[in-house]
Amino acid sequence: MSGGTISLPVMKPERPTPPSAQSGLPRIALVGNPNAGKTTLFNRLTGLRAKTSNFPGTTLESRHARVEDAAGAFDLIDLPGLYSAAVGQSEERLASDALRGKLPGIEAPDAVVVVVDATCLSRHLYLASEVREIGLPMVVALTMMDEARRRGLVICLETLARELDAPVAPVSGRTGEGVDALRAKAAALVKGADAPEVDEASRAAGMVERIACASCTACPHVNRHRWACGVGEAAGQDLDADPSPWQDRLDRVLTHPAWGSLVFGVVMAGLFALIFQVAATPMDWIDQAFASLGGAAAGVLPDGVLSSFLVDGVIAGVGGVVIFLPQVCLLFFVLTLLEDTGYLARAAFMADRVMRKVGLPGKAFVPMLSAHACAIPAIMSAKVIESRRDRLITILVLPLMTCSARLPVYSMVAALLFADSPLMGGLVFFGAYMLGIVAALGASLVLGKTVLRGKPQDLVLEMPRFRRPSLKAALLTVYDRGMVFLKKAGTVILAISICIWAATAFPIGGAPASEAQTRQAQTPEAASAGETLAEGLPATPALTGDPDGAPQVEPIVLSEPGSGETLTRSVAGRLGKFVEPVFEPLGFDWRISVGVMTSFAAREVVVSTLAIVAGLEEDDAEDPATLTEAMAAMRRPDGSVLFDTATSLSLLVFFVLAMQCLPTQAVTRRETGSWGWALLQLGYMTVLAYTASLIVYQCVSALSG
Amino acid sequence: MDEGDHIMLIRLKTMGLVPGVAVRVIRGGPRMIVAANGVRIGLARAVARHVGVTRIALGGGTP
Repeated sequence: MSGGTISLPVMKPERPTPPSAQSGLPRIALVGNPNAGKTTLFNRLTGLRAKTSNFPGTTLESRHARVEDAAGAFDLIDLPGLYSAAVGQSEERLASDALRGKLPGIEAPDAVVVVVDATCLSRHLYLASEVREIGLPMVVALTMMDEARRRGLVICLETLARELDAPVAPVSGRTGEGVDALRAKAAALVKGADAPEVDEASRAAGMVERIACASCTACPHVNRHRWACGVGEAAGQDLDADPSPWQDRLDRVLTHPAWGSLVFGVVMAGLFALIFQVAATPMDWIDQAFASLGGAAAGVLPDGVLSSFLVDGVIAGVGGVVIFLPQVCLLFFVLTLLEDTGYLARAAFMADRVMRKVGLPGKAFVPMLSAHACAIPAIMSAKVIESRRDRLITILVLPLMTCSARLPVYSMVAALLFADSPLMGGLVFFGAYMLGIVAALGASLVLGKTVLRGKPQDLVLEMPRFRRPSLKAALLTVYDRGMVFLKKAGTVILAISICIWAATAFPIGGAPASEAQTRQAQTPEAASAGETLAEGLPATPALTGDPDGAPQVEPIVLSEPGSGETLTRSVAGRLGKFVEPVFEPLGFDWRISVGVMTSFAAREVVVSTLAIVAGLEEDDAEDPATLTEAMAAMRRPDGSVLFDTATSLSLLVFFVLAMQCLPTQAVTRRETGSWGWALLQLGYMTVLAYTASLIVYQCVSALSG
Repeated sequence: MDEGDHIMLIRLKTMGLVPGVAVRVIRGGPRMIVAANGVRIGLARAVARHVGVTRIALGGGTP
């Protein structure tokens, strides 16, 4: 088979492919194997202009961007990585359909850039040959050229271009070498080129050659591989070259049961230490910035509904999301570097051993790791798991992993229990993390033996070569993922925060003030000066007049939205009282119950809700020390401390295990295609959280007498 | 063979594990790492059991 001209059969496009109806620009799809350097190349070609959206009617995420070149402009679409355009599941199938114009409402692209790894030519030519057969104009981006040169590989570009009947552009996504030339070739392709046509005779000749050179005529994969190896050899790839002994040695160490586990533990510990230590400072900056913004807004706007809406609803809502951005960005930064080096695949390989025991595949490891920043991108990344059963179980248990939004709750409880002992506070965090992981593994085991019976798919995982990672590529990925996080989660949580604000702020109405407040309100000087008469409770003096002409103040106080008084009478407050009997066995009184209810949509809301309940100003709620002191001082009707050890631990366990995140529910519904799975997730997590909390509260209460 | 097994079989072929290629075992055990056609693949022994091989000497002939 090697040597000689090899013709691939090419089908004509079934219909003309007009330029993008939306932008008027021609559309070029970027396709390639996973680990071919496709995303790095996309970032190089487009800079920071990429937009992320879904293909209509699907959960397939697509990044696209307008690319400008002297030869013309075009829309570049980054399709998910795929091994084959002919087979596959989920993401791979959708990418293949997008390429063929089979997705409803989307036309086939006008041309294709096929990414081929220069260091592993024959392997990547397999997909190139399939794309070639689709019949679209094509340019081959030969990536990893810097690494190929370093390894002494010499590739004959002319031979490759001739065999593929397509222009070839050598590039390096890591260094940016050749990217301008590739951009120009792609622009020229859609400017004047048409799909290459192969007449019937040539097509027949090609088929004859393929069949004649194959020993296994029944298997198209064998034929295609032999063709790819032939082209690779003709272009200069030496398949018998030394396979880098140090890569073998590294693989043996990193996947060794003992040494590999040790490295795995060190890497994971380092990852979390980095995320929580390094992210703390920018998180403080963001916290302070939003607190200042809220203070400034409150200073400019008159007290009232508008001020409360902007400060407590909009600014606090946005701040509540943005504060976690440093952790999300750091996690993706480290994950991208680990993925680039090739270690993440080894980590998944190592994790497979443990995860299979609870019915999960090793491939679930990466989504589970991502879930420690946020469950939303983690659920979306579960697409890499091919088996539907394995994918569903993974999605269902991912929200049990400790995400950033749980951290304020952990901080609050750690401070309540061990204010003077950072070590014990750290153990609270560690215990909460471990509880989440153990619960996720346990839930997988139960789900795998009940509603999703079966065995996890056996491990089949490509182990990419170890490489030096690209810092720039990682930063671009962080930017992209950060924007996705802000847009997708931020907007939803903002809307939810506003709804919760409304539930805690309304109805606003007159009510008899407390005795102390009334005494203060009757101070005419203060009333005439328009001052706030009670902490957290503004007074609106009602002038009744008196014979001496001195203003008299009715002992009536109109509560300000967000105050403790309003909360008591608000929709949320009444709901808290209504559900109090349900949560009483967990040690929660009506005030904690309000926190549980308001944090149904976003768990971090419980902290600010409890701060309001504790009678604090919203700004004070941002200060954990102030919040802790106020909460520690809260009493039950019988005078006992509300947040004793049993209640604090019960609250911690509840928030480790409860769903309490509406955006995650929405993403689960979208990724599973059914509200049924989302409701199952909500149901089992709520039951689990309630039961575990109940056991903890009752046991600790009994032990502490 | 169910759909999952079928897809896995095709996946192995698209990764380069096709009849006639030389396969090098980098790590053995319940989870193996093999190299074929310049690609490293991690696979469970349960999968590897279905891949028939003939031992060859490093030079290419049968031992």
